Amino acid sequence: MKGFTRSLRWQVQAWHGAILLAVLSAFGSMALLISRDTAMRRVDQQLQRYTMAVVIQYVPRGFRGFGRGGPGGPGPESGPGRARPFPPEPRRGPPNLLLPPEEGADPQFEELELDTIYYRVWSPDGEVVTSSTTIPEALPDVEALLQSKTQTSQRGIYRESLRVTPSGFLILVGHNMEVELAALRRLAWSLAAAGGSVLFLGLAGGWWLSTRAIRPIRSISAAAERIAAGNLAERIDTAGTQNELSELARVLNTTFDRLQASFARQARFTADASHELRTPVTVILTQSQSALKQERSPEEYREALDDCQRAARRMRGIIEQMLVLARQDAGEADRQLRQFDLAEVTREATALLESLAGAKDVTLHLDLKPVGLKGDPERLALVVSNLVGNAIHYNRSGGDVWVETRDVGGSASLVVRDTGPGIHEADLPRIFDRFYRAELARSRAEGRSGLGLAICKSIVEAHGGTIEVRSREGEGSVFTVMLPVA
Amino acid sequence: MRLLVVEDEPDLLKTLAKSLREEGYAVDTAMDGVEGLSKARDWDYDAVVLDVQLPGLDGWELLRRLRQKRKTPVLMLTARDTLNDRVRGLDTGADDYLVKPFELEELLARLRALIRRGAGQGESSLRVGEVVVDMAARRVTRGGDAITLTAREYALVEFMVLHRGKVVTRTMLYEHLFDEDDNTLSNLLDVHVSNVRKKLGHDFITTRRGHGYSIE
Repeated sequence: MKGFTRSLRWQVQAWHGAILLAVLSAFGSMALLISRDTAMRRVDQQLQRYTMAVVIQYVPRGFRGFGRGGPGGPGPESGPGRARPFPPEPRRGPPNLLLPPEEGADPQFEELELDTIYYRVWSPDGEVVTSSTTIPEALPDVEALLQSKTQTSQRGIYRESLRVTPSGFLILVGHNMEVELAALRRLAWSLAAAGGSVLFLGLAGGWWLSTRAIRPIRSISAAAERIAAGNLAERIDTAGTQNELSELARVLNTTFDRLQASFARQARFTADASHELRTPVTVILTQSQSALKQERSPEEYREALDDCQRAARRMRGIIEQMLVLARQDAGEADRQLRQFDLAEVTREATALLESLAGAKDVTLHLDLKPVGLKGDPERLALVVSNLVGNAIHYNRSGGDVWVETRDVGGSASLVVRDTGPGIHEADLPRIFDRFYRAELARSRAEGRSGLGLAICKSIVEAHGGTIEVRSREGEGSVFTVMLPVA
Repeated sequence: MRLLVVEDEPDLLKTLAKSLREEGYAVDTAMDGVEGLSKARDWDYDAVVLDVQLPGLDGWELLRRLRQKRKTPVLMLTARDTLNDRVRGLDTGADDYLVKPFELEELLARLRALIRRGAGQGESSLRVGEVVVDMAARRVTRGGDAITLTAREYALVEFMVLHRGKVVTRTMLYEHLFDEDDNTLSNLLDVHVSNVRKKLGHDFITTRRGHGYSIE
């Protein structure tokens, strides 16, 4: 369940529901408030008009005015002739309103419409002048009403207006709002019902939409899961849709492609590496087992140990080269960039190979023009020693190796040329592959890991350069490294 | 028993050949596929030990071409241990399959079984009169007593026993008991036959004059 509530879909649905609910509630409340307000205002106007009607009917002339004179006691504030009573209705005659009958009057005159209106008039000395039959049993607290600032006030289902004429008559007019309140309640209920259905429909629609929206995500995650489970060839189906998600799916597919390629490279490298290590291990194993099988002469033991040592050295070479490559792959190489002279690095790296050249009777010819570079001199020295080492190792006895450095228009070039047997055309495209050994090189590959050129390529490319080979069988090989001068 | 070992790693080839010779096998060697194929085709080896990764002609191709001519038992040596490789090896006609690095003893045991099966002999122990040849342990007893034989003598006995009831010519013996480096013009064979007769009884090996030898 926890997983479910955390799901994107659930969250979208929850937010969607909450927002919908808030909007609907706000809308409903507003509608209700406006209706109530309208009803109240109408009632209040009615109450005012009824108050006037009651004043006209029950308050004696000369006591009616609200206007002049303070709240002081009653008094004939205007002569009968020039009376300008307020409100001006009396000019047009009494307000055209029926009033509920007085208490004690014949009930047959009661008008149904007037059921809800009631009134009571008190004289300034507190006597009830008149009262309608519809007056509720419980009357409001007149004192409190007088204190309140509003002319009308709500008391339960009653809306009441209490007015005091300057002459001191108290006129209470009220309205039983049962009908209006019931209507408002009905409105509230229908609003709630409508809101509920809208909410339900909205949620259902939202669920449907989120289902639709989430379906591609589901298929993406399903594909990703299958890939995680080990099927690297799996891809997300992007056919048929053209939206942000299919864009994402395409990006993911591209990423998966690269991952798969990288895994394949990794797997091939591991297979190659284990293959390369298996042969020397086999030599050590069979040599030692054969030597231990029976008593042997010291010479035989020595020979067996020599073989084992050679195999172990070869393994060490492979392991070291693999580490260099792995570090190179990890991008560690870019860390120590500095300015240096390629000619100087080449001279130092070549000097270390003099003895190998002497042992193979190969002559080294150096033609090194200074050329400034920015990069990792130690790794570029490795490139030099790998290339020159190969040129010596695979050379003929009495052969030559030429090493040149030059500044060729914005690029530094390193050229290593030998008089070896050359490389077969079929091997040329693959000689920079890891563990690949050209046919002619194989039989002489003793102690060579098959990683040297792969390392060269990796280092040169990390420096933004290129490495190329030109060769013809029987005529030697030329390796050319071009590096950008930073 | 004469074997061919095809392996491009010189140290490994040297060790294998030496170990196998010490077991009494006659061993020929080849360092690449082309040489290996020509030897395997030209001679009737009792078994071939074949490395898969070879320069010139790889082990698979060599095996495929060899199978067009001979049914010599072949044990493949490979550095790749995947099901695909094993299936491919057996499908191409390899008789057995060993992944590098292997135990020397296992290689020897598998070769013994391979040679026995190649000669149509399932049992690892054979009795001729009161002589019992245990080919798994490479031991010979006569009337229950262990008889000490040199590797070459044992190879002679084993070859004769595996071809029991048939006439084995001197040429066959030379071809299967001596490798390319031995001087086959010597009368070494007669010396070995005579020594075996001294140890296992004069009647153990019958001379078929003008034809060769046989074990009844």
